[in-house]
Amino acid sequence: MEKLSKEFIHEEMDKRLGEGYSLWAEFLKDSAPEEYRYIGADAVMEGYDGRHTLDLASACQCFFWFRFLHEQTDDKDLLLGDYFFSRFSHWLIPIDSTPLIDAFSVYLKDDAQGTFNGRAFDAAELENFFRQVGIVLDD
Amino acid sequence: MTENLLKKIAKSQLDSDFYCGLEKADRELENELDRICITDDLKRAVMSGGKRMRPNLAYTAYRLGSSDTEIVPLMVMVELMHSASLIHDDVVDKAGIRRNVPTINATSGDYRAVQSADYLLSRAMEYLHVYKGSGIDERLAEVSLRMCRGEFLEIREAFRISEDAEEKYFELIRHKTAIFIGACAACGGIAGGLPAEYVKSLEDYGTYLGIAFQIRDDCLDFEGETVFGKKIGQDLDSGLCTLPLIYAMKAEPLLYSLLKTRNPNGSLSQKDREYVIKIVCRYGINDCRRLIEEYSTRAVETIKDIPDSPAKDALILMAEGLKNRKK
Repeated sequence: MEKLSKEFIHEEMDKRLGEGYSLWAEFLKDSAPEEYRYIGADAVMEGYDGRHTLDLASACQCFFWFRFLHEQTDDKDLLLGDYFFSRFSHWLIPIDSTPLIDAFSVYLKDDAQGTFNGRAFDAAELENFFRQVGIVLDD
Repeated sequence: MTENLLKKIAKSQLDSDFYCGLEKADRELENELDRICITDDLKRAVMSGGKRMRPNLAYTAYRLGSSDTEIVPLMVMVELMHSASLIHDDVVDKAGIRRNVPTINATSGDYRAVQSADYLLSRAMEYLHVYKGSGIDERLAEVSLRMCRGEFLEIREAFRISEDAEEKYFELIRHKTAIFIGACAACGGIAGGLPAEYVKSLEDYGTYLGIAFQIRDDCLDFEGETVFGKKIGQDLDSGLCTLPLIYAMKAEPLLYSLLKTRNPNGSLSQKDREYVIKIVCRYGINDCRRLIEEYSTRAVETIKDIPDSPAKDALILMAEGLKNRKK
């Protein structure tokens, strides 16, 4: 299978997350921070190159926004974070991998407990997780 | 009379099975909560009861096709999803009390409430593998997306009285409440091995039930005394144009003028607030009651082709019970 280009993945990310970015502009009166726009997708591509690249990249990017937005306490950030969580599930489930779901579940459980106890959101740590998570896929 | 009694006996047998299943689900949940450091808050929020309508529905639908009670993972999963969404709702609504106990945001702040709900989502994810390949996971993911869209629709419509308010109201409650209840019934049916046409009937049944449930809930916002810590007129204060209010505005144009000119995010004076509640109780509630009956009846009609069984009787009773729901 031909390796997907970064440009193609970025274009697809923009399309797949388009509704979320429109909601972001409408309700948060801002746009999603440019420096994080492809953080999930790029990290996935560094650690995984297989038939689920696009879906995994989409899932990771949505998971990133979910955690990023839930660091804020405004109600609209919270709802948009929930929206991105539902999009994350939408792309994660068809990959059909129990180890992958478990990896995200364990990460979220640990991260939610950590942040509950005062740990700050860490974009680099999440990026590192995305880099490694594709390893559990056996294709 | 005899038939009714038999139905009740059958339901009580099913109820006892159900509570066994629910107890198992609760125990599993409690064991997990015991191992983490956000226990007190979450235990209070999750274990404080509530109607458990969603797992009940999943279980009863499951029993239409299966005689065992091995449906705990689905029951836990839908209850976790529902609890997480309630915790988030409490943050958004700045609610201090739910199910008669303090909310997490009230005791530990918004940030911790959000993280607690996210923890519940991580726990719900652990059950996804149980139903891999059945279509249940995809259904629940789709429903959670539509619920989020419903939340945004509600924000868009807050403090607006539009010409098509009634249409928008139904669109909103479908997204926010009804389709999740429909999915719980459908997923129970899938897990129980029912054929596709019965699963579709169950989905419609749950959706109609959810619509009736939400209309009733919206009536309770105006009626009687404070119920389960929920203040009367809370939806009105949040600028929500619910069905009892829409019907009351149709009957009393003065009410429409008063609310139409209300400032965005502006609170009503105490006198106006009391006037609105009085008019809604006088003109809005009865039409809603009629509609609750209509949707409950419609729910029962959708499952008429499913073979008779105690589980089906329980679904019928559940729909009929909504007509008299007080909380």
